[in-house]
Amino acid sequence: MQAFKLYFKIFKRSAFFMVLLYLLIFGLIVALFALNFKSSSDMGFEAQRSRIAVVDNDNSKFSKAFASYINENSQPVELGTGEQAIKDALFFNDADYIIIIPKGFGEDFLKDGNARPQSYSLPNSMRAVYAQRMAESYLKLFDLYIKSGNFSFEQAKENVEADLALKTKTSIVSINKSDTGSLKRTVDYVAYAITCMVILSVSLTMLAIEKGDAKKRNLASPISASKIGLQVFLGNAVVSLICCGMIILLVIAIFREDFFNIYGAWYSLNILIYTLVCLGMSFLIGNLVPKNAVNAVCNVIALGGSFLGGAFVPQSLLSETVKNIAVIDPIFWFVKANNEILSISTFNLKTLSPALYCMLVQLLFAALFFSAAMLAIKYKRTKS
Amino acid sequence: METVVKIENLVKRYDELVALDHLNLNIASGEIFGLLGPNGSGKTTAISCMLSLLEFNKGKIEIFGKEMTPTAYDIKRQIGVVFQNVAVFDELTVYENIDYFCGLYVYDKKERKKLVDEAIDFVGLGDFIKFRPKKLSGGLLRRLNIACGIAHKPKLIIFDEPTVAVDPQSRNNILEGIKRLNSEGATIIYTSHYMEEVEQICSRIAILDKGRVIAQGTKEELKDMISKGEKISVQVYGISEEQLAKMLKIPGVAGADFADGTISISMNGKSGGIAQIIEFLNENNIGYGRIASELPTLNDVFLELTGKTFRD
Amino acid sequence: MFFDIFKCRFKSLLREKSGFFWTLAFPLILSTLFFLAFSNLNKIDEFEKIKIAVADVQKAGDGFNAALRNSGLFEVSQTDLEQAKKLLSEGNIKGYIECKDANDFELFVQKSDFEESIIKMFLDSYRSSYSSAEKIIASNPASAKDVINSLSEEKTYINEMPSGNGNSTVIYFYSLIAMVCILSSTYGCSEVIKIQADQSTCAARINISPSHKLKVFMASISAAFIFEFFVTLIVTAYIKFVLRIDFGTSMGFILLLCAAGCFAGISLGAMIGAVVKKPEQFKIGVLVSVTIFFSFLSGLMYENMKYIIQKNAPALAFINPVSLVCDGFYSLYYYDTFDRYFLNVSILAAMGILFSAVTYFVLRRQKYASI
Repeated sequence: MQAFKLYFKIFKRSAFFMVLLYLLIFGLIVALFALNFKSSSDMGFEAQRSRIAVVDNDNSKFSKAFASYINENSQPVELGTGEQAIKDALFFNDADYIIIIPKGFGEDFLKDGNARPQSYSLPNSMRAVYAQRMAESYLKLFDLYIKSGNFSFEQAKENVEADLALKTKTSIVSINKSDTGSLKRTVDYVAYAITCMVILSVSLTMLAIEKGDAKKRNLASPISASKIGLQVFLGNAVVSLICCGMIILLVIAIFREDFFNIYGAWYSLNILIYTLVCLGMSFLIGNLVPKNAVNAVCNVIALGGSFLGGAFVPQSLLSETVKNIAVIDPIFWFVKANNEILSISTFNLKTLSPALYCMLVQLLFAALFFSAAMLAIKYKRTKS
Repeated sequence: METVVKIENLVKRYDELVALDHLNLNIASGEIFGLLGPNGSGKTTAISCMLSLLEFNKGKIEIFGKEMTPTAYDIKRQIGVVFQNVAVFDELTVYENIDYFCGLYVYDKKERKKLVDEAIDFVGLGDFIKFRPKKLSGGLLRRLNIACGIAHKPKLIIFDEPTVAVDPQSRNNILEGIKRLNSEGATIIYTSHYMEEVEQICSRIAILDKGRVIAQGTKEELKDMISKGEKISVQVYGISEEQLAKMLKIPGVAGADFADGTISISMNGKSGGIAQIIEFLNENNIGYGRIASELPTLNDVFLELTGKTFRD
Repeated sequence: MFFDIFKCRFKSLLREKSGFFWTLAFPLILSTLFFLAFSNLNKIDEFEKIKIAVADVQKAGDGFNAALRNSGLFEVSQTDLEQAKKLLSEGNIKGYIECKDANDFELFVQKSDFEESIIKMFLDSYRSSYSSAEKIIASNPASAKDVINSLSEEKTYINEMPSGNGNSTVIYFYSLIAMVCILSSTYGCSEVIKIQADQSTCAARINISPSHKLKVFMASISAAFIFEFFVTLIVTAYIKFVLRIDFGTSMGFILLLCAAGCFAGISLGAMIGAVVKKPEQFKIGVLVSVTIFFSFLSGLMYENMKYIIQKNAPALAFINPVSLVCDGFYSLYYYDTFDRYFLNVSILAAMGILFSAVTYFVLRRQKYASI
């Protein structure tokens, strides 16, 4: 077991720090991500709230009533400062809808109902449509009451708000799911982290072990080359499994009880299978790529694979061309497997088969990488 | 003879450590001047001060009769340095490296091309001009390092341990080169902790220890400074106490010991006592085998002056 | 002499392959990936008519039917309850409305997203209008006709102002270019190390030569600047002409911004190289990580980060050179005026001058306390 022990000594010195660094970065991203999306509960219907900024330049009693109605029924957004604040807020999707109430609006509107506030929004945005309808119905009803001439301002306000408080009964037709998608998105992200971690640890350690004279010395020892190779491979496998375990633990630490269900179990299996793909890939890289290029290759593969495969941007948003190219990207199949798992409501062989198919494809990728690595080793041996 | 380098009372401290302690040196034109000392004795520090790379605490340095400063460009133009560590750019080829460094001295392109070609011939890198330093073996790399330092035909060339970690063949090549440069008129300062090399090529030597010059002169002068002379060892089958005592009376013999079938005889002063020893052995019918004579080395000089051996 | 050194250094930079990967190949690859992945991202929020089913619409009456049609929000299938349920469970519609009375409905959906919320809001506001109308007519029965007319009248109450049609994914490309600019700091740092005798032996060789140190330095740093400037232009040209990302109008302004960014980057690196006395690897490592972190803050990994910083910690955006370059591109692309663009360029230039001044005062020193 000499070579196996050596493997871990070298791993500790050559790659361990990098692995921890990636784990830390991934942990931070996932934690932020989870905090953002976890809150949406599954307990019955809850209407969305648009992000609306109201700028009240009028400060009349009507404009105040209008503004406060909007603020109560939306997520109020404060605009930044500066002349470009409106443009910036729209560009960066900070506000869906911005309402500017001009000076004198309240008085004019109550007089003849013809004064208009101004709105800014991204063209043809669904969120803006939603916000606009909400704001308009307040003004419309108010106009109706005032025009009829039988209601004072206070009465009109009271009536409008009472009318708007009428809500339609809405029920969620249950689709029996414990995962709302945020766990799945997090698991998608795992692809990036685990690719980096496994490639760096396996490739860097292998390169350190196989370095020129040290390798010759190993070969000169009375242990057979294939035995040493096997021990090194075992080391690779153990390190990869550790990476996989650490990642899953991290996901569990963030999602806690939301992870412990049948979905979590299938996601874990998928992560494990993808780890095998990475192991094969890094085995190949460790045999093909010179040391100073490992970092570069690792970044290109991890980022490229994640972008193309839909680990960062959901697959549904990728263009058809990209999806057609991505079939040669293992991460595509990893994410697809996650999608399939998420869409299952009752688990049986029939519903699982699309997910299992994706996992099988990943295993084929793993086998392909291993065989390629073996070929590379053989080629290198006969060459030197 | 004209003085090329004059160092007076040079003091350099690194915090607590005194690296140069009132160092005085005079180097004359046309010399190969050896600066010999163990590691850490201040050789490289002295060189760096001479080149105005290092600040020093006290003292005065004159080169070619003028005070050396970082902006004394007319002096710098006359100096070439071959550093201990190979100092070349990895991205440039052999030719480009020499051309670059020569370009810092000689701005005229035509003249520079001639100088660079000569330098390449001089170090024998003609077959490698398109190579990048990474592709060169250790010895060739050293030669490139030398070429970069001397291409501009300086009048004073400083070699700072140019042979450290160099194979014997390349070492000889380097030493021959230094002699050739000297014969072409350059004054050489050569620092090393290899005594043999210094003995082999230097016309004058200063021995440095703890930042001070403990002895200075030609190698003969240095060896004359110490009491120890030639050492003769004779393999014998046996010798009596009286015979040994008698031996001490031979003129020039300072001491004689017998152990393990070998007599070790130390001679006084100059060499030349071996004939008398053989005569004595024959006269006394002492059968002898191998006779070996050993002259005092600079190590012996160092040992006697400092009480420690050189390689401590 | 200036030109010889310049040529030599430029040649060296061209031959340094690992530098090429991070400053040129990596940004090209990353921008291609951004391009492939983000091409549909902006459609995420686009409004399309929502598919719904209405069951038993006769119970609600013609008014409701008309309102549904006139709203312009929905693609309605009128079905019975069973059919509606089936459509929903198969995912063909977002929700179905069960009509119980003229102003009594129940909505069935699967999720609480925006589409579903819009259906609900439509129903809510229909009920509100109904209730308002009832109250007004009760107070003045004669006005019934007017009220019903004005209710069914499609009238907008808010004037929609034209606002820019910006695509926020451009920020990813802009901050990528900005990163390339500021990554030039690694080159600035290396050039300083090559001129400081206490940091490399090649530098010692330069220091003992009769050439003025700052002149040599000016030649080599100019080579680094021109080199980086070209690299930045290649990346920018690729993004602009091959990926066809919108940069606004003026080519001249883009060049000026790239130049200002490279200048700030190179001089930042030079300053770090001169001031920090640590091994080269360490300094380069620090510069790269700081640049990546700055890029993160300016939106390289998440475009809204730029806005979050700008809104909550504007000072941070003003001292972050990556963000300044990125914001410069953004201003050119999205704003109608050039004020903000020139502010960014000026701050970058000022930074560059400040860093260069610090570098100058350190480099001016010609002797070292230790080597």
